[in-house]
Amino acid sequence: MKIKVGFYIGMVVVLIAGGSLLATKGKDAVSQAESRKQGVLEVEQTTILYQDSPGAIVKVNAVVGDSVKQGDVLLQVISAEGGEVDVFAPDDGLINRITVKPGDQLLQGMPVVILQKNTYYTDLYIQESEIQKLKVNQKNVAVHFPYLENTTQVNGVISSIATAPQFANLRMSREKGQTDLSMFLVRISMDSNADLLPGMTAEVRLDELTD
Amino acid sequence: MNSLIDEWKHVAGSKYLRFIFIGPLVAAIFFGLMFSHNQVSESPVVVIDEDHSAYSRQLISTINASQYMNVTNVYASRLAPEILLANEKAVAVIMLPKQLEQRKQQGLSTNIGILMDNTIPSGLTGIRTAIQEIIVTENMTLSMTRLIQKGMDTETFKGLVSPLSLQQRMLFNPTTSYVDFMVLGFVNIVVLMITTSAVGAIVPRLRQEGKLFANGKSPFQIWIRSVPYAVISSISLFLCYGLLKQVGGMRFEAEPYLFIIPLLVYAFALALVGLLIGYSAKDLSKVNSRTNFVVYPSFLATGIQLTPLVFPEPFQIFAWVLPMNWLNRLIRGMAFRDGALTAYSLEIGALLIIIGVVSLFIGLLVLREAGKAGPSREPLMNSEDLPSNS
Repeated sequence: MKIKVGFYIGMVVVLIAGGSLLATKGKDAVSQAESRKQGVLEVEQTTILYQDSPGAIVKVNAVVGDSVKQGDVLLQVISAEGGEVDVFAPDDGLINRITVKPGDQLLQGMPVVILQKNTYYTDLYIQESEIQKLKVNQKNVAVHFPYLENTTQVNGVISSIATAPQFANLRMSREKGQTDLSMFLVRISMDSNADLLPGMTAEVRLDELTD
Repeated sequence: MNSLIDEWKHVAGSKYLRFIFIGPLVAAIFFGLMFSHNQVSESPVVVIDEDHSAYSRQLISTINASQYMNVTNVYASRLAPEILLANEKAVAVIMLPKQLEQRKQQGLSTNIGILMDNTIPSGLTGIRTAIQEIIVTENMTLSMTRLIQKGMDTETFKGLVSPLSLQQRMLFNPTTSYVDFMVLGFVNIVVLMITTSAVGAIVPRLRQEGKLFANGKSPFQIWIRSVPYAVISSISLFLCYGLLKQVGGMRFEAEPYLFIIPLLVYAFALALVGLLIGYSAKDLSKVNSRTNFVVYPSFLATGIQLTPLVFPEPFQIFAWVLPMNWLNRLIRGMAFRDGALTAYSLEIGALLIIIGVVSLFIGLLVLREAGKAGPSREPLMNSEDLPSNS
């Protein structure tokens, strides 16, 4: 009888203790996600402007989506004065948009091609308390894309760390939790990839990083 | 005439006379206090501030200053609204996009997003009006300042008249479908009523049959009898949710094999609460009236019809002892907001605490009764228990 009662009381104590532990120590969805920093995948774009004397386009050598090397001829143009004045790619990259077609008349300063550079980057805001995990030029930072069907993962490099303007000096109230902390702006750059498009949500999991 | 006098005399000495005056009075005081707030004020909201500018901070202060909203947290980087709303720590997420301040200075219009958790529609009425008011006031202030600075010019006016525009999205139950809160709530209440009265009848029935201590005096022998009810009730709930999803179009995002875990824990907690309630009842008919003490509060205070935020804090805390409070939170969290099971340790922990505390009380009641019953009623087959009756 005593053993049985003891067993029963033990069970009750385990239930209450286990429940209390779960309720107080358990992490809710927000705290679980706290080490996951999300940012938008962005890309540097340059608009190539026509810079010579007025002329007509003879041939367009590239189509949208082509990857080009620095110095490739993008447009063959014959100037009104007779000379051949071609438009070259100023950088390696991907053709994002071509705004002209063969036969068009070009004037000086007209935008002709939008070239997208080969590196993507994302800006993340990291709190003071976590910034020590990150160093400039740190390689192999795993960047995830949580909303893609196939879980793509890309390795990135930290290209810069800077104090986030406006945020760094905000210590006015304790009421709003995380805004009181100094924030740092961390830029992670990665090679472009056929699966990825600018505008996608990139995610870095700080708990995966080893100092 | 004699019969009338007779009945008056009977009434004068009956319980009815006391109850008819005390009952409504208690109800008036209790419900008067419970619904003293009339409307939801200071609803918790979180802000995702992707702009990190002086203007965005000013806007956050304005939102916080509204009597309908209380900014509980500001996040610097984006987070999925499902995660931010998963544990009912906030009812809405306000999204301030990048370049908000820059675009304001350029006189361009910017979209501000507000994502609202519509799993309890009554909790959002205040916020929807408040955010509209803030945006309208903000727009007026911005445009008037600009117009004064630049002089009344229609061309300038066009671009400046509404620098901020609001994009509202109702999440999780965008059409305010009744199936997702009222119908579901009624189903849960019916299961609660039937389960508590059935489990509550166990001890009175055994006592009438004289079999209360037939299997020994350990409380465990009575405690374990609630298991079949818990299992069958959770299967019934599960079938109902399936039916509501297939026929009524209820949202159910959680994996069924995962949801069965909290459902079983809930059903077990509910069965034990029923067992405790019915324990000291003299006969079966008393059990049913006692279950009302669980049914009514469960119906009122667990977010079936009204958001718990409308009640004063003590009443919200009072709801913590009701197993259904945690079941409804789990359904809203896992089934509607697609939260992971691991994010609901608080809810499952609370149910385990309820199970533990209720088991403790049941144990004490059983031991007291076993002590009173004395060794004489002890069935002879359990002779090994006899000497240890102290």
